[in-house]
Amino acid sequence: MSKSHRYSDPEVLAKIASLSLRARRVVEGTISGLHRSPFRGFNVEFADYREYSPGDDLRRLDWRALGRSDRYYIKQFEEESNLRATLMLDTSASMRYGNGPLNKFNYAATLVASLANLLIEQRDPAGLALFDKRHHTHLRPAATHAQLVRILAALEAARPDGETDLGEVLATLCDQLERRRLVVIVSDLLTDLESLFDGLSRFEHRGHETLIFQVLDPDELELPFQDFVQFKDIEGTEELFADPATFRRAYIQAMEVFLAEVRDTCGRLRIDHVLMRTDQDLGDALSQYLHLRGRRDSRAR
Amino acid sequence: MSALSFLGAPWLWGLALVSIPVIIHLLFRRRFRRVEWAPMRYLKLAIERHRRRIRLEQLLLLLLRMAVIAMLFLALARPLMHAHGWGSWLGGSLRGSQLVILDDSLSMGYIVDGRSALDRAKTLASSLFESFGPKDRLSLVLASKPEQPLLREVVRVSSEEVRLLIDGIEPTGVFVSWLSTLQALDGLVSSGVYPLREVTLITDLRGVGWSDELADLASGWTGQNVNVRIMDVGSRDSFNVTLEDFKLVDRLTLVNTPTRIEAHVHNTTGQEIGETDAELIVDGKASTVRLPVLPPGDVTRVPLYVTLGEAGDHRLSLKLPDDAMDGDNQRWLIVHAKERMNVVLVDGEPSADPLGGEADFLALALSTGFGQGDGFHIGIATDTEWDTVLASDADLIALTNVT
Repeated sequence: MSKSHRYSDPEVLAKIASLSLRARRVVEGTISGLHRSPFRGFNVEFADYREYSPGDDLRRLDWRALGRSDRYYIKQFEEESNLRATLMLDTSASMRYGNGPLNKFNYAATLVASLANLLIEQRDPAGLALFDKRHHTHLRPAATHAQLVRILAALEAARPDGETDLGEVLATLCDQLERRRLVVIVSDLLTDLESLFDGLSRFEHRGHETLIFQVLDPDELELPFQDFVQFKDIEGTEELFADPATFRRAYIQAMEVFLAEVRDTCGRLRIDHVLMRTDQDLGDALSQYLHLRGRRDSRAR
Repeated sequence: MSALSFLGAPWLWGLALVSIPVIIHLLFRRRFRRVEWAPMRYLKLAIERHRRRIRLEQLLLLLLRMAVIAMLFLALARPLMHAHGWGSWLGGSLRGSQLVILDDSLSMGYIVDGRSALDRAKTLASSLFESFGPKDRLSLVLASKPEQPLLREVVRVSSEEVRLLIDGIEPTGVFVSWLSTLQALDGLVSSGVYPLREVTLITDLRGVGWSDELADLASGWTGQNVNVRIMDVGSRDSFNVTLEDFKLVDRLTLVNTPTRIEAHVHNTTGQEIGETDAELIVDGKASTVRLPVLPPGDVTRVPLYVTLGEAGDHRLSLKLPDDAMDGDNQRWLIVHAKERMNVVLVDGEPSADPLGGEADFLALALSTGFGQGDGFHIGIATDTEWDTVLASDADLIALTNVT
């Protein structure tokens, strides 16, 4: 693996690619892949015919063409074949934390690279937005190999630093996105929750489909330290000296409340929320989620 | 007189170690790691919400750890609580009858670290008497002589007197039957004039001498509200070799003839003891005998042969090498040696001819003797001379053809 493509983890991509192939057999060709098109039923433009194959939705059969030529054709629509996606990656200092082989930022960047690879391989335009307190890098969606190279280069160049204000970033970005799309947010969500939920609501009102991958280190969920610890705020200057053993249970409860709040709000806004621990195998976690999403979309159709 | 005294007061110095948890706590605070932390908000939330509970828990945990250490050393110091002492705290002044029974049996001579169990018992008894109240009636009895108390229901005896009395106690070579001892003291205990009666038994708690019947006696005392305490001054380990028996095997000892003696040597240590020399003393003259290897826990029978040169009583003794308890290393034996064995052959059908009767053949067989002596002195009598035969000092009477 070359250095510039270190986030294209072949193991991860191999697992996703196999899932992708399975999804293509269901939906056909390069349309939508695993994803349900967010534009289905809105302003679809006719694009092309293709021959019917078993398993296709009979509602899309062109009866007129059947009458004229006595052959079965399926109508394809422009928007349905292209899923526009913007991948948002949190590059704030809090993403720097990590106790295992991958810190949160490396894990999240690998996830973003994997998704970009998958989308572009499916010919779905994918863009990238890197943000901390504001979004500082923005690549418009494109479905070319050159775009994938640009995304990977941007990920390589990114360094986790600065404070987070995800809510503000979402508000700004929402105004800049003209067309509906899939917005994938990869972050630890350690930000002001009220502002975050406002931003997510705006995305929902604009008709964007939002997907959140919340990346956390196991330490942040379990507080496993045995010694006394001088905690220093990774995004600020505040310091706190404490014996974690004395309040571990209370901390775990506080984190559970936080996660539950995020999960409930996302559920209300019909946003997929996926919690990913950095000690989890990324390929397994991602393919499991995409598989579930694929089954859910199949049922919805 | 305080309500609480300690038999092992030096252990109280260990109470200084209660500071260890505090020191560890402070040391641990100096050893910490630095972590750049992202979910600071939830960390602070957890700490602030539970700050009081956390502090209380930490304080209780610290106190608990300190209490465990304090309890350990207080237990090792063997506190002694006195009912009259507590009574004085409550404003009253209770009087009590205090009976101290001191075990002076053979096993109390067992020495560990240069001090015998009896030495420890004496020290303990002295401390105990110092702790009694000035109005208590005090009795001191040796387990071997329960009928002759050293002190009997005395009041206001000085510490110096008691100390001299106790210092004069020496270990005896006897085994104590606790049932007999305590039964003998039952009257003394029951006749105590004060409602508060305490019996303190200072012993090494060796298994010998304790029987099930003691339970009935103890129940009776409990019914009379007598407090019984047993103070153990024994040692858990045993490094002792005991000469359990030293006896004559042969029924008859003749001069200048080897006589068989047997010694039973019990190795109570947990390890094998190699060949050692013991001292066999015959009429004050010592000689060395080699003991075989003594397996751990076993009784080894050691055969010995002694040849005595003169008729009469002889004093024999076997002495094992010195060990932790010398009292059971030596045993004595009195052996009576005879010039020859007097045998009377009673013939019911005597014959005038040589070798005409059965007794004649027996007399001939016995006349060969053995060893360096003549062996047997043989006399022949008829059954009509029975009375004479019985009156003689015959060692063996053989009856032949007597109906």
